[in-house]
Amino acid sequence: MKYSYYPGCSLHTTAKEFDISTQVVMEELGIELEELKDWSCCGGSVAAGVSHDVGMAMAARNVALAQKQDLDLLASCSGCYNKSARALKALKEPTEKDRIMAIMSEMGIDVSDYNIRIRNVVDVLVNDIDISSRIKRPLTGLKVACYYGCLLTRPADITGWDSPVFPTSMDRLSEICGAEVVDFRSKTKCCGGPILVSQQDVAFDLTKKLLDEAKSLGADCIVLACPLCDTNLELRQPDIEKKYNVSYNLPILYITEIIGLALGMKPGKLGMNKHIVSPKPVLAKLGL
Amino acid sequence: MATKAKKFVFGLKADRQLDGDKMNSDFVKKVVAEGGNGAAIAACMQCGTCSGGCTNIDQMDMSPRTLILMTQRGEWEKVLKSNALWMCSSCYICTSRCPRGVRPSDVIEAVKAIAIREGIENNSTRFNQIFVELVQKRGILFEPELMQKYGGLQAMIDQAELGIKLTLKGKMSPFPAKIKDPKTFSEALEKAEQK
Ligand code: SF4
Ligand code: SF4
Repeated sequence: MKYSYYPGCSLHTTAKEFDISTQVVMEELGIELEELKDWSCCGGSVAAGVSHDVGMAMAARNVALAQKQDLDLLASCSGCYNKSARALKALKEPTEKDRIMAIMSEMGIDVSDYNIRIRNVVDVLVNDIDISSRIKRPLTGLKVACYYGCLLTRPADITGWDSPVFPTSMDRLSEICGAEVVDFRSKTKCCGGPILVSQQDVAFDLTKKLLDEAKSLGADCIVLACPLCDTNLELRQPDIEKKYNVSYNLPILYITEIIGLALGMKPGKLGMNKHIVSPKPVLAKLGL
Repeated sequence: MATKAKKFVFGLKADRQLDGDKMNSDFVKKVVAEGGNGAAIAACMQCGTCSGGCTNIDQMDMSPRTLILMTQRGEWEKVLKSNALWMCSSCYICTSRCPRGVRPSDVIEAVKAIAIREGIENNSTRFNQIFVELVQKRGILFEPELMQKYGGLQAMIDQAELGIKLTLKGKMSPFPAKIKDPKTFSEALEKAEQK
C-alpha cells in the first residue's frame, strides 16, 4: 500500500511529533508514504468563510497534485483531511466543478479525472490494517480519553467511515493497544479551534470543559488526531490553567504515538520528546 | 447559478416557510450561489435540533435555527449583525444532526463570506482575512507572521514564551516555507476573490 502523504502546515511545525509518529508507524506497518510534491495549505476552517471558491481552490490544489502522483492522498491532520475530502467532493459536483477548475487552471494545474480517494490516518489504521497481531507492548493500566472533535468524522457525507456524532475508531484502536478507554462524553464537542485567535476567551472556555471532564474521569492522557485540537488542549493548556487558576498537567498524545508505543517503539523514535506538556507521567505508568 | 426551482421540497412548498410567509428567494439564492445549499435552506422545519446540539450556542445572540429562519425571510440586517456568525466554530454538529438535510454550518460559512464582502468588520473578519491573505502569499502559512499581523506587538509578547518553547523543540522555524510558484498561485486566487 502506498499513499501520497500530505503533512500540511502544522505537521512540519507545531505538530512535529504527529508527523514523526505517523511516518514511523506507517513504515513499521509496511505502508509506504511519498510526500505530496509541492503541497500548499488547505485553507483550514476559515478560508471558505472569506470566499467559498478561494477556500475550495486552495484545498482542491492538493487533491489535483495527489491525482498527478496517481496515489490516494493520506493526511494525518483532521483539518487537512476534511478540507481535501470536501474539495474532492466539490470537484465532482456539477454546480461547483467548473468554478474550481477555472481557478486551478489559472494556477497552471490541470487534471481532469479525480479517481483518487482521500484518507485519514485513523481511518486507514482502523479499517485497512489489523494491528492487533502486531502489539508487542500492551499499554496495560493506561487510562485514555479519546477526543475526536469535529473535522475527523464530520459531516458524514464527506468522511463516512465512523459515526459523526458517536465515533469509536480511536477508542477501538486504543483498546487494541491494551489501554483502558474512559467514557468521554465530550469526545465530539468542539474545542473552539477555528475561533481560538479571534474569540480567545470563548475558545478557552470550550477547551476547559474538555480538560475538566477528562481529568474528572481519571484519564492519564487525552488521545487525538488533530493539530488544531492539540494547540488548544496542549499548547494553550498553561494559559488556560493560568486564566482559571487550575492545574491539569494532562498529557495530550496523538493516536499514532499511542500505537507506536504499543508496537514496541521507543518514545524518542516517535518524537515524544517534542511535547510541551510532558508525557513523562504516561511513560512512567508504562514503565518506560 | 441558475438552477431550476423545485416546487416542492420534502413535501413543503419550496417558496413558502412553515408559517406560510413567502420566502425571500433573492436572498436565499445569494447564499446558495456563495456555497450554501438552497433546497436545503427551504426544507428547514424549525425543529431546533441544530440549536440543541450546537457547542457554542450559549455565546450566540441568534441560534442556528433562527439564523436559518432569518435567511429564509431575507432579514439580512439581522443576520449580518448577529454574532452567531463569528461564534460558530464550523464544527458541523448542526449539519450532522439536522433531520431535513439542511446544512446550517455551510449556510453560516456562506453568509460569513457575503458579510465580509459587504464590509462587516470585527476581530473575526480581520483574522479570517489576514489568514487567507497570508496563505495566498506563499501557499504555506507562517504562523508568527499571522500573529504579528493580527495582534501586533502585544500578541508577539504574549506568545513569546510559547514561541521560545516551540523553537527549542524544533517546532518553529524562523523562516517561512513556500510553494514553488507562489506568484501564479496568489494571482489566481486574487482574481477568484474579486470576481
Ligand atoms: S435541525 Fe435542520 S430542520 Fe431543524 S431547525 Fe435546524 S436547520 Fe431546521
Ligand atoms: S457548526 Fe456552528 S452553528 Fe453548527 S453546531 Fe457547530 S458551532 Fe454551532
